[in-house]
Amino acid sequence: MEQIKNMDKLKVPVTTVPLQMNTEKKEHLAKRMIPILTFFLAWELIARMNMALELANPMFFPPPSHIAVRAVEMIQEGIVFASLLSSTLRIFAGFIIGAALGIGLALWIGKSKKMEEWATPILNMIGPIPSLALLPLFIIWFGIGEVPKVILIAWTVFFPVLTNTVEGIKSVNSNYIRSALSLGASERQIYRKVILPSVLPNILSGAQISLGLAFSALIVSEMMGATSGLGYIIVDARNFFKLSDMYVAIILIGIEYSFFSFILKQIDRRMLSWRQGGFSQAVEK
Amino acid sequence: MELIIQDVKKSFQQQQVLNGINLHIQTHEFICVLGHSGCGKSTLLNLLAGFTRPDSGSVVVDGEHVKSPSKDRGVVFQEHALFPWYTVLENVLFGPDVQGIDKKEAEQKARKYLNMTGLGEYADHYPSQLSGGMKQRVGIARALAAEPKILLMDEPFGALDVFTKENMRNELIDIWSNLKTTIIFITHDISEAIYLADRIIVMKEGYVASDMKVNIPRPRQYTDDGFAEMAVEIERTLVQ
Repeated sequence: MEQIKNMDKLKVPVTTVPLQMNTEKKEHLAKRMIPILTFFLAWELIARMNMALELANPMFFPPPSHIAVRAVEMIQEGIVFASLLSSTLRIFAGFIIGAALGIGLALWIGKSKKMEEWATPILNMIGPIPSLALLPLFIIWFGIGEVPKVILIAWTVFFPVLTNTVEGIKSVNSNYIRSALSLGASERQIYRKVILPSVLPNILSGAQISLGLAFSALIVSEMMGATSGLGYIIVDARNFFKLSDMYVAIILIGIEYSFFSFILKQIDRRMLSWRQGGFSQAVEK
Repeated sequence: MELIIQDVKKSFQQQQVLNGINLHIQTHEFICVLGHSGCGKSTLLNLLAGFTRPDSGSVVVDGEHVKSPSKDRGVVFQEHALFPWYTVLENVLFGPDVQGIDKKEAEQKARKYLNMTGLGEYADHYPSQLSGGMKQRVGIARALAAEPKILLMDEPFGALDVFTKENMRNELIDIWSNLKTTIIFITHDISEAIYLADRIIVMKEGYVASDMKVNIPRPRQYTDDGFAEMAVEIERTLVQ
């Protein structure tokens, strides 16, 4: 309320904006749903045609309606919930650990020239190695339990978050730091109140980049030596030739990824509400 | 408050920017440092703020050598340098807050200076929602809220339009007459310097070319006796 009141002073017709946004949003959503529905409809038609004409083995290419039926069964059997839960926990744990270590090391590198001199070449050497190449090694070191999976995900998240954060720290406007010093801030206060908020956009974009990589790491690690999770459903389905199960798992991965991405975007929006810019701010359409 | 600058020299990459500056500045003085771009006036301000150190010579405030930035020397930047992630009030609160002043008292202080710069109503706005002149007012309020002994201003009105500039000059004089803070104001605008200052330091090629008192009574007008003459004199000094 407070904000709306203040906005009025800037002569922004705030009251009309939310209404407009709502109908606009609904229309936008409907517009986005049409291509998706068309996609599934086309799939259904082609798969049905294939079943009738037997062009290819119909088992390889089930129609969405069969997959949906199988999905309902799997939900009733409790497989879906159990798999989603274990995958979510893995990615959550890995993500938090990787991001925390990445931010921590980045702050340290930003603070100490020595640390930067030492860490940069080593990180540049290790960073480009695709993390999946390390999975077998992690399995040998840490066994086939949760540890290697979480470590792999953390490792995958660590590098993009680290490099983005270091980049962000280097580009903090030096006048912000000078202002803070002249206002009497200590080094710690500057880290907390100036550097961290100004690199937050970088941290979040690092997290956004990591998310896709983290999902690859999750699925692959679940394919190698796991007894639960979405990746496990896929290998299990391959072993027993249950292709509908495989499709269910693939679709669930897509949904789960979208969910995580949505959460990150929400965090982004909440924490960076102060940020303005981009095309929509530059030109009114 | 007493600020003594003694034989200060500073160079960047073998280029001498300050060639031995000597100045003595008293409490409550409103000083304008005037010069072309590249004459070393901003370098001098950075030294006074403690952002950089002189190659030789000394800057002493109240008997203490300036070695690093301090809350005793507030700075207002040309590009205002407000923290974009904080609201106007949070920006102004920054100084009192980091100095560990009690929350309630700090907010009172912040609001006092915001009201002084006429921005009380905009406390909950973000800097990006304000105009250039308003941002600079917040910049001034933020520096004042830390209650510095000296206010260092680096071409603070340089990026503002003529009308806004005019208003800001008047307001700055009002604030200064109220608080009696010592102000060192960097500018390249001759009439701005005459309008504002008790004393104008004209800088040229890293030297103090002249140091003159402005004796025109306040409030000043551009049409006041002596204003035009002084402008001509300064211009002559700068061109010579």
